[in-house]
Amino acid sequence: MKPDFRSAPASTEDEVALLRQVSERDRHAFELLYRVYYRRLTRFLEQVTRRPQMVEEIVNDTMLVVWRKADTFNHGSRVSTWIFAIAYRKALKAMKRAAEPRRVPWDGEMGSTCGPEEELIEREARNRLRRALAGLSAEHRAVVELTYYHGYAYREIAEIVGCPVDTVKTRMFHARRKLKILLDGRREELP
Amino acid sequence: MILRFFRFDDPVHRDTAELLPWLVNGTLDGGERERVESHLAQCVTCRRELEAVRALQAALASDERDPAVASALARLHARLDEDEAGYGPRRLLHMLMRRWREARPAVRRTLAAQCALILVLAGALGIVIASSSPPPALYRTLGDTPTATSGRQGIVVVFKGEHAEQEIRRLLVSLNARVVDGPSSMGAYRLELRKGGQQEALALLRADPAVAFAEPTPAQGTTNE
Repeated sequence: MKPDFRSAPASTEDEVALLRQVSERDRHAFELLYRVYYRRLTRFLEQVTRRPQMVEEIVNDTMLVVWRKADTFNHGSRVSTWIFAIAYRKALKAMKRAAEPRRVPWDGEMGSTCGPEEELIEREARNRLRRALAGLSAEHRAVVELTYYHGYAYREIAEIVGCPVDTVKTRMFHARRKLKILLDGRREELP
Repeated sequence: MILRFFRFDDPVHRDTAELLPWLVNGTLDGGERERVESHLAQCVTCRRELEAVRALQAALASDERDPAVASALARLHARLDEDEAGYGPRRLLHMLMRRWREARPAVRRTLAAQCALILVLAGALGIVIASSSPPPALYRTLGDTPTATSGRQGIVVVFKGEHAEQEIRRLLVSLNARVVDGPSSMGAYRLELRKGGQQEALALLRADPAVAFAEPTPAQGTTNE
């Protein structure tokens, strides 16, 4: 059973048609495409960079490249794979410019402690997961995010992050192992 | 929410364990999925790991925020305006050249074949146009062949001045001809033969005392100089 990925594209053909219109300098088509991708890219870039304040700029840098280079889209891949690959490269560049990534608390992470006990437990579990993810490298977070939230196949992830498929599998493997250690609170076991 | 991950040190499980995230997101191809599922059917440890992967996926997917798209889009529009200002014929040419360079060989071959076909068709069309009827002349002499008489033989004839209309009518009836043009300023008429040979008609006309001049009209397809 395939889970319901809210971020998965509604129709690949629609997106290809939109991108064709964008390549013909159609602003309306571009705006539609932007709205389709804004949430997905924001989410992905927040996860990868851990710097919410720079996310919007990276999204816009990404979409500006889409606007300029829509005519170079290679129909051998999905539109979303192409756009995410641009976003990933932009994210790595932005992080390099901003030197060492630093830890930024997410909205809600330091949230109120009122509410039913179950909600508290849930919130705590979510915060633990966020903290654990923050302990991963940007490359590992990208693979985790693209798989679990965006629903990409490992071959597509290899295309997005620009590495061999075996590297994607290995990154995921190590990401999960690290997550396990971080979630168990055994930081001393990290390599 | 409890997330537990088993240790991946056992190589027996590693192949399955590696692919579990993509089993959960539904993107494994048929062969891989069957392989993973058949291992899961007989391995409790991997089934437990599968549950942990599902829990992680659910936890990540449920963590949603609603970013403000409108303000971000407005800021990008300003940048697009700047970008548009630099968009002209030179950039269009650059784009076409880049597209050609980046096109796959199959696409290039198809485009080249299409261009060749267009040239061949254009050449063929030129030949057809050149060999077809000339365009209607803006002026016409009696020697011209009008469109209405296409396929019929014509004769230009000048009658002697003293002959009455009655004589002319007699000649036309005997030749089964009709006047299609004239008289010109020189008194020339152009006749069209309904049937019968042109040469016979010419011989009869030339022999007739009422006729001063009789000549065939130029052949069809020739232009009037």
